[in-house]
Amino acid sequence: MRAYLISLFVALVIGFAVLKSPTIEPLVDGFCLSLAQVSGGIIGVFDGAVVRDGAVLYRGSYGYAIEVTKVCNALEQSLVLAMAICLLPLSWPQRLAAVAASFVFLQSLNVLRLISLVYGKVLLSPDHFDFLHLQIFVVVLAVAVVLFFIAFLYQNRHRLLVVEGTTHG
Amino acid sequence: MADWLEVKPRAALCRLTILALPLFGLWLVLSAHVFVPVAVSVQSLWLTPAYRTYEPRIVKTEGEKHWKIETNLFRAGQAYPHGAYRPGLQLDRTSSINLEYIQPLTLSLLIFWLVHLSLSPLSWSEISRQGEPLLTGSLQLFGIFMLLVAAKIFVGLGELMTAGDGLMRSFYLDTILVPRQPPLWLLDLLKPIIDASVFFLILVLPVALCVTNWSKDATAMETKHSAWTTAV
Repeated sequence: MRAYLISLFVALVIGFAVLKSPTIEPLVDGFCLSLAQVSGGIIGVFDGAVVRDGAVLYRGSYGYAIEVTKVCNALEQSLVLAMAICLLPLSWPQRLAAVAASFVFLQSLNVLRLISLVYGKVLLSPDHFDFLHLQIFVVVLAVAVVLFFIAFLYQNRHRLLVVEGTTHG
Repeated sequence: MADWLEVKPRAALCRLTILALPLFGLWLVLSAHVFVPVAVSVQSLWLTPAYRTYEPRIVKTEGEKHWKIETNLFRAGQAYPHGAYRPGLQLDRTSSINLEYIQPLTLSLLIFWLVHLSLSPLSWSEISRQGEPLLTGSLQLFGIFMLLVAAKIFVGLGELMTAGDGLMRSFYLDTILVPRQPPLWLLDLLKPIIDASVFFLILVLPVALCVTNWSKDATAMETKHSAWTTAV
């Protein structure tokens, strides 16, 4: 357990250094733009009044706009989950499948979050919008990451038990 | 890691559903009125003597959502050589720096309570009778939270001094100013470590603490069960 935690911490430091490096920045910006495109596209199916301008989404006037920035892309949470899964003693195909599933899961949740925020901006007062944005969704994303990881451990408990038994045996 | 994995998922989900809202409410109240104010007060104790020249203050003004450090770069200018200080110099844009949002750092406590109370192999009455692992875990997480806030302040002030230095240079082109500041490489090195620590604190450590506690609980249950079986 201790070795796992130390490896995870080191992997996260390297991961965050790479994710925040200027070299990666255009890719991250491109990802934010794609998130705005996907969110805008989904909203467009049922509501034509929402406009997308680059990574900015708004309904009505620009005063009600939200911008998908680096802190809104849930890449950090995806990175933590991916690293935590990759360091488990499982085969590489299992790890890669789990990382892909975790990424799709978190980003789907994030797109739902962005869509809710577009409408939250229009329908809620600034204080209530901030509460939704900075309290509720932060908690929801964090709990989602933890529950996904625990559910993944539970699903793979027999494999993990075998590996652990082999290691210690 | 093995012995807690046999937890019953339906019971755990049921507990989680019941606990989610009350614990979220409790966390909101405690983080806003206890954890963050306590952290800010404690940090001020070392911050003020350590950076006396800059007169730093941790503040959150009305209507603002985040905490920030305000410093007095005019006073800092007095410490520079060659009479660099000039009253009336406007450095408003760099005289404060956001500490970003401190409150989400306390999320680790909410996650810890949620996971511990929902997925423990023990019943709630047994958990409440023990009590100690929950308290110890919370205190450990709070301690790490305090360390992280201190690290964020250090990097924030370092950046502020660096930015202030840049601005001072642009104002006094003919004057060589060498303010006291942490080296840039140290700030660059600390940033990813702090980022990793934040997510480690919020997402990893609560689960790791719960797993450790569950393993102890499961062993205790097993011992109790085997003792009971032997007695029978």
